[in-house]
Amino acid sequence: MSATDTGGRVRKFGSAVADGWTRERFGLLGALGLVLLAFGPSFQIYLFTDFLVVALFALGFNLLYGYTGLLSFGHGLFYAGGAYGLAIVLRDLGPVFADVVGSGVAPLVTFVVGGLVGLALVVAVAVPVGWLSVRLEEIYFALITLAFGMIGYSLIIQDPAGLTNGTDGIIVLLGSVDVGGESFRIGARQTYYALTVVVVLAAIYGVWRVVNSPFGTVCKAIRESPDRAAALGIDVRHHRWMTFIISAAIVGIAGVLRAGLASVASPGLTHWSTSAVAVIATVIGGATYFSGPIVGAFIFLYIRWGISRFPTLDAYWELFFGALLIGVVLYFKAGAVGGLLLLRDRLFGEGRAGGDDGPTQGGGGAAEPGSSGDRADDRGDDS
Amino acid sequence: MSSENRSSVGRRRFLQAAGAGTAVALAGCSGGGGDDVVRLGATYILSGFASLYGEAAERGLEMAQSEINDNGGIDGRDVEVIVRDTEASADTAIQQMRSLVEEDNVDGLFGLDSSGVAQAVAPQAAELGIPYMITHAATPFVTSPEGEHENSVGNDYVFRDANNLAQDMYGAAQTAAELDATEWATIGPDYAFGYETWDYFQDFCAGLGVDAEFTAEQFPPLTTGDYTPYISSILDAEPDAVITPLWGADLTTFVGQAEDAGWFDQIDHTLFSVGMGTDLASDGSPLPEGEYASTRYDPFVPDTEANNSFRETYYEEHETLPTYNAEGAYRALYLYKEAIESAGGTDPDAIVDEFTGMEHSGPVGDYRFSEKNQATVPAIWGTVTYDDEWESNVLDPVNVYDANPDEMADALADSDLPTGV
Repeated sequence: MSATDTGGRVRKFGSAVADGWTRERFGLLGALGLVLLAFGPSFQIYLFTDFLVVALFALGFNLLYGYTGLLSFGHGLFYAGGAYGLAIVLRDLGPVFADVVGSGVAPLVTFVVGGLVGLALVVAVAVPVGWLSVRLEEIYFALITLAFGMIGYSLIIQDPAGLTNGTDGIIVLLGSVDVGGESFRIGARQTYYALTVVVVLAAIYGVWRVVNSPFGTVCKAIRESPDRAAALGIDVRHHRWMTFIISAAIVGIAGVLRAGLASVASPGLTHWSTSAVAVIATVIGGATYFSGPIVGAFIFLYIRWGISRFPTLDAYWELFFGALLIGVVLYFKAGAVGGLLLLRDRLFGEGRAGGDDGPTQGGGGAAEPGSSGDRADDRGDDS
Repeated sequence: MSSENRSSVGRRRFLQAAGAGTAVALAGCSGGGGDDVVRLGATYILSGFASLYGEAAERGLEMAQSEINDNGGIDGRDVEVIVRDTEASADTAIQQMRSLVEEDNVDGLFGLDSSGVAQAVAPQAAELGIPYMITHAATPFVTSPEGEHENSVGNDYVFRDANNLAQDMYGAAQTAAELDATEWATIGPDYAFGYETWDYFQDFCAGLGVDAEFTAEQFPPLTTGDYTPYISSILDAEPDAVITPLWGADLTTFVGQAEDAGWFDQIDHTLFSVGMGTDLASDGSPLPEGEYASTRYDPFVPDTEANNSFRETYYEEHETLPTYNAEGAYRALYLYKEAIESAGGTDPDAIVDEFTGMEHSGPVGDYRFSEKNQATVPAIWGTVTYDDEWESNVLDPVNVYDANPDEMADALADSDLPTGV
């Protein structure tokens, strides 16, 4: 509009960044992260770490929802699975590892093994749960996953064989690593933040590779029309099952990180209200975009935090989110990412809304021409 | 609807949201840091099935806050209290305490209602290096040094100004000794607090030589709506007496359903260990008269100036007797005042040093902090009686059992449970 000179420069940088997942964009994000790491107040580092974990949770969920068209209301089950896997290993096997590898590096070894056990546990649960769930579609799929999530909740509360410690949850203490006179706490704010950044970025990259592979293309084909996909020779049910397992595993990784961050694995993680966080973050951010759940998680957590700074508003924070959701569903069917793209188109010219629209490459709308706004409408109607 | 229309609405919305977001961020940054006040953080359950506890605590702390600020503050500085909701969840409680310490720069923390939450929070207090005065949560494991028992999480930073479960059960076992009952049962919430109550009660009975058999136990989950099957199961076992640590809205639900099932006709004595928490002073379904209940603070005992004036002032303002939650929170502020004034500042480690072994006096009476950071307050058990003057249940007659740490340790000599005192 006005100030085209400035706009031009911003546009040049913006297009380099927006031109797919280029070095520029990764560089920008990485630099931002490092800046925050170096200068951020302790609580802001914590909040950002929390955001990264929730973003991964929502991203894993969206592999099934935005890319394959299955709305799960039970992904909290896998979030809790990762958390409890880590918590149980730390509690019960910590001393064993200390004997085997020496107490110096034992906490690190236990953490890594615990994380892998959490992931394995999630996959082991996701295989049968997914196998049963993908037999259903739409609302029935949402309900069966909701049921599985709540079964997990009840089971954890029952404290089977003294494993889960009932409603209290399991305390997660990550401990300190001593190597060659150097000592650091894994759970220290900066350390854990760095660890989370590495794991979450790696996992995001992994998901990005999945959705841009032939596998991901099949997912999108199934989302658009299971019947047509089947006619092309795709085993729809099997493919959905595999996507379910991958999605659960990603959420499981987020669960492992969550336990270390929260310092406790609590049964609330598999309650439907936690599963809903992934759904809400995805809807706010935009399910059709790869970055939708990440942006949605950012908005969700930071608005939540903003509200918490005002004690009088804090008691009614759900009310604000209700209003936000209504606004998003009515006016921003493509979510915040869709809204931002629309805004960019408005500011920098409608001409750019065509095929060179970077982010849609990774997003659900990439496969077909047409503006992102239209795509989002389609999604809104059939889900 | 054309896409033009939608996008213009979208942009306006977005800009509004962005503006609001910026305002929020700025407001967030401006908090904290001022040196003209002493800032304390309180964490209680303020929503859900047990929100009554948090509300009572808020009344107590607000009363102490205005008293202190009207009388010169703490070393001339006003005291400010930021109250946060734990939602009875360890996850939330830990997030709230991190926010209070790192965002609001509080000088000390107090509160906590749930034992499960307290156990998760205790290690975090040490990690953040901030004193934590627990005013309600009763698990002995938070005042039992790490390593003493596999569940122990006590450390230098965590204190408790109210009596703990071990002290309370020490009194319960002595109450049991005076009753004509040999077969005992329990119905308690299905988490650590329910199980620990039963374990401590049995071990104290054994240690004090009480002639008791333990015949039935039921542990319904928190926020159970229908206690009928659990009630039937206990009634079928025909015990002489039952001890129950049910609390919050659960206790109210249970009492109503137990009454309908003829519980109080069939079972000679019921001991309510969290009976005088909050529910009784309010309407709802109060405890039946003639049963036994414990409290961590009694509004009439001791009959001292401090206690009487606390009770009168509280009653005048709220038209209800103060509960132990209110008193525990009230006293926490005075503990901080005394510690900060004698330390000459708000350095967390200096406050911790002052709390350690501190002798103090409040409405609850005179007490000191044991070497495990537990207040040496007595166990109080009595008979539930409705008092017309106060329009509330009270304990009358009331027995105060001096819970001497050494005698408690002797009573638990054959048990692996720590006294936490």
